[in-house]
Amino acid sequence: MIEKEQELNLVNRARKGEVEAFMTLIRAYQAPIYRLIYRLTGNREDAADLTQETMLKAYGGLKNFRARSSFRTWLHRIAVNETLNHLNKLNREKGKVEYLDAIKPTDPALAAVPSPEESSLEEEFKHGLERALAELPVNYKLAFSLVAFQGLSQAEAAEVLGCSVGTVSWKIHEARRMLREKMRPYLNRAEEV
Amino acid sequence: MKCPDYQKLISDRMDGRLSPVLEEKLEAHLKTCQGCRLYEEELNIIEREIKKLPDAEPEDLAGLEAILRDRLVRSATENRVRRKKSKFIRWAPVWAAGLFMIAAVIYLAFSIKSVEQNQNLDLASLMSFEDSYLTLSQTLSTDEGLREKYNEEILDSIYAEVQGQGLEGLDNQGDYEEQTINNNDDKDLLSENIGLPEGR
Repeated sequence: MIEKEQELNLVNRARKGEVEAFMTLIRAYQAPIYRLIYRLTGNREDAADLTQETMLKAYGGLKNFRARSSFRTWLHRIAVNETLNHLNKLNREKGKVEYLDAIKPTDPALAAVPSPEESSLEEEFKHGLERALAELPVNYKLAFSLVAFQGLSQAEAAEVLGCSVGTVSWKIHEARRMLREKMRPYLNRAEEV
Repeated sequence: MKCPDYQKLISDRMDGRLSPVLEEKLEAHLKTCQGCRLYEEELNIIEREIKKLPDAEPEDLAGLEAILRDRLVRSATENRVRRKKSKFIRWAPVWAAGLFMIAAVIYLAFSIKSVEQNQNLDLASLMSFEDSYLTLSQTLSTDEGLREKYNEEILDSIYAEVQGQGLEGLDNQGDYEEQTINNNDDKDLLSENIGLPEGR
């Protein structure tokens, strides 16, 4: 992770048009941003495209970065906006009425459930969990992913989502409750064994 | 507090956001509620398994980075061009005003010069008329033959003019002799009444 002072120095150089300074700045964040977008879209191609768009938007918007929040938080905010816009567009194209709810993953790795013969109980549980995570409503999945997968604090997640820490905390609690409901069959089976 | 409230406290405790007072309250509840104990246990299992999930990595991070660098370089170049253009457009009214001022100054300068030239031309033509008359007078005063011819011509023309107008009392050509130049008179023709205002 880049030190705050070094980060600001890189931001200033990138603002002046130094592409390599920007590349250094984002190198550490590219993979985590990709992972977050993949969690939200469930599609590798979309994740790659949206990661690129996020970085391009960040480069173009560097003049607006006031360093009130960390660069990481700011970058996450751009990524979240890009992804939500993309999902919103997909929903409109599909003519869905629901807003950003229950996005079904398109990645076969997330969508397919292996048969019991194919996998052990642990593998089954893992696949079930991936599916349960993918099927969370986007707003809950977002808050949960920012904290559980991206390692952001609830305060940072609140900054990214533009809401209060209390709201983030509530969404995470709800996401856990929904996950438990979805995982109940797997949990029961594990208890039986 | 009911079970759903305690379940929220369980979630807060997992995030390390529970105050000691509430933690004590939660512990007291868990001792008596099997449902909430199971809830906490299952959430912990899920949380543990989530941490074990493999990270989805981009298939070709280096390739993505190369494409991004290429797009950034292109975007930086475009931005520079756009910035130059926008700078020009931003200052366009100032440029226009400046050019207008320069054009106005040039126009005024030329107008003044041309007025001066016209005035000089009038004076020059006037001076040239006076010079010609003086030269003529001097030439006539030195050449007697020419003088006689000139006087004859002048008298003829005045006579013809008067005749044309039908004036009375001027029957003789000799009546106009005073209009002619006398070689013997030593007169300054320019200071006499020769049809020009005095001092010109």
